Amino acid sequence: MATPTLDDLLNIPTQQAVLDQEVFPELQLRKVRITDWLIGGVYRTAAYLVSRLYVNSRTVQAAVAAGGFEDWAFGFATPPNGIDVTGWAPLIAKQRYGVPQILATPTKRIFRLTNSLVSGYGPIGAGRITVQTSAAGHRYISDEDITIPGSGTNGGIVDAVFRSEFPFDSAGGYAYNSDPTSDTGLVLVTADFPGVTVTNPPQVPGVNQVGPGLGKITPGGTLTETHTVAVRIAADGNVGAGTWQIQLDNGAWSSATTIGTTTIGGSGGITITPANNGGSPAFKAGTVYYFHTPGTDITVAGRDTETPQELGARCYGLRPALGFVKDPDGNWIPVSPTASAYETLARSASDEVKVCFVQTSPTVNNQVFIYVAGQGTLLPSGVVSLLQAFFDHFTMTTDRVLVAEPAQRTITLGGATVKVKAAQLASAQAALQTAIGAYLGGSDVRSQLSINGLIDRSYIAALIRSTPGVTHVDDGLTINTAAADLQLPVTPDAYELATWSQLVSSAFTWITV
Amino acid sequence: MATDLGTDVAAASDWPDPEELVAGEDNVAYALARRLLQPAGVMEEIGETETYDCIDVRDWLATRTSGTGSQELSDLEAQATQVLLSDPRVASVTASATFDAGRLSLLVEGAGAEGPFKFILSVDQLSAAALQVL
Repeated sequence: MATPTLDDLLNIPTQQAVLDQEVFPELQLRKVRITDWLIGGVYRTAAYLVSRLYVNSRTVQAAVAAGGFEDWAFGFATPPNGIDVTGWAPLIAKQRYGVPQILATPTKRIFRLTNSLVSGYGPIGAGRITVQTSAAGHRYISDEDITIPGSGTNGGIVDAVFRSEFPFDSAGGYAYNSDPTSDTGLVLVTADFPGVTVTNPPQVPGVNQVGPGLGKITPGGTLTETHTVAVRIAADGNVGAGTWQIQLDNGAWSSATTIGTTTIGGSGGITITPANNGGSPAFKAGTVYYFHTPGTDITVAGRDTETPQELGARCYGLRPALGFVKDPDGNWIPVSPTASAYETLARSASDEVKVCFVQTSPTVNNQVFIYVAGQGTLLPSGVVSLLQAFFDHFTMTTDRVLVAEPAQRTITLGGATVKVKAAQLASAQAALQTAIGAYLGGSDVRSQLSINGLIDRSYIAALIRSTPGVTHVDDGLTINTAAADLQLPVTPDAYELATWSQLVSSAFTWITV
Repeated sequence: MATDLGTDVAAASDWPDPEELVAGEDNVAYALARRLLQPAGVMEEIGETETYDCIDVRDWLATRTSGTGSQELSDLEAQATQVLLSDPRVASVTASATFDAGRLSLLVEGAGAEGPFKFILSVDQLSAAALQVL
């Protein structure tokens, strides 16, 4: 037998071909006396069984061969004959790169418990209180021991961390990083604590400080609009002495002004109030403060299991690490890694990073921006600081890394009239909600939407049309009121992340047929 | 000219050892017995694309929690008759079911291209099957 080529190994014959070319000629050669070849015949059944086993064996053989090629295993290319070996990706990543796959994590967020009775409860063990959001139907379970005070203490109020009932699974409809304003209607499922109600706490933006200094800033004013703000200290000093620059929605930095209460953009205006907080000088040049509005009650942004493509990108990004010099302890010193290596480092530094966009500064030499976001949401307070500290630790000599959050661009879909079979209306709306949420949240493996991506109108229309039960879609789909693709950023030179919180049941016109 | 009803292994529920062949009406009887001992969908599982009607009377017996009264037996006879008629070699057929002391017996009488045939298929609650071609 000639040594099989790769094509030979990857070619899986059909069962009929095996019957005609392998099994029946062999039976004829052996002069089998059987003449009953009707369905159900013993020899015929045995022939089908043998041919099925043969095909199965060849399928295994093809999968083993294909699994050795990383582009196929990581899903960057599709092997022939319908072979899918992306299930091998975690093993290959671990064995060849030492990179474990990031598994799905639950979302953690804060809910406020309020007790109307004089006597309190607790401590109540983690896991004993369950909360459900009536709008989205999601359930959350207490993630820490909770003591609920009586109404005479702090108004009977306690804010506590809850985790989603299941890890993130956006394809299955378990996507928890929703805007808190669309996740209202909270009810306490646990009935053991009479007098206790649950609500969303006030959404106060968290401020990330990257750099030294005891000085603090506090956002105020109108905090309900979607904005991303960065405040950079230009010169050391206290309030009224030092100077700072302010950037709104990744636009241009303002000119340096004296540190003091300042109101910036938005229809109502966001007020930034500095405080020395005991420092002198409280504000240090180079330190950057970040926050985004509205605030969020999410403390940990949950995420789907890392896809084979994402895992592969992280593995490939490690290749430049082969050239890294090492310190005396054997740790890498990535003097100037590639963009893909930066992305790998960012994703490895925090599991919450689902979207990562690396861009060299168009104006400042050696400056590298790393924009990061979670799955369908900005990252909670602290993660950006963590990442900046992570990169600062490397003390790269040729790159100055700045980790930042993208601005959010709210996406509003509308205009489409969808005809759907009456019996499948609810299931179609649920499936479409999940599909569009995955696409605009950047987790659709068929069309990855990243920061400054193109929001593809025809792809969204295809998602609608391919939803089970949908029979017709008209051509009226609009994205932010225009019947055209939407290229981010809308604001020139900004870095924008799509955010979408509509319900498809009300965004589109549904006609049952 | 006599119709060739084929030659196949004399197997109802298991492959005989040593291998034994049957032909003619006996082969049809074995083929029909196999249709009464196969769970639905088994042929599709191995890649058959033709329709194959069958019923597993062992499963039927094992799942009788409400008894094996005359109505249940009558229903089984109707199902068995329908399954057996799907063999193209069968012109007419009747199935008579009896249940006694934990054993289900099916008397099958029919006619094909070469004449009448008759067999008794019996199964017990331990799923053992026995075929007696008459």
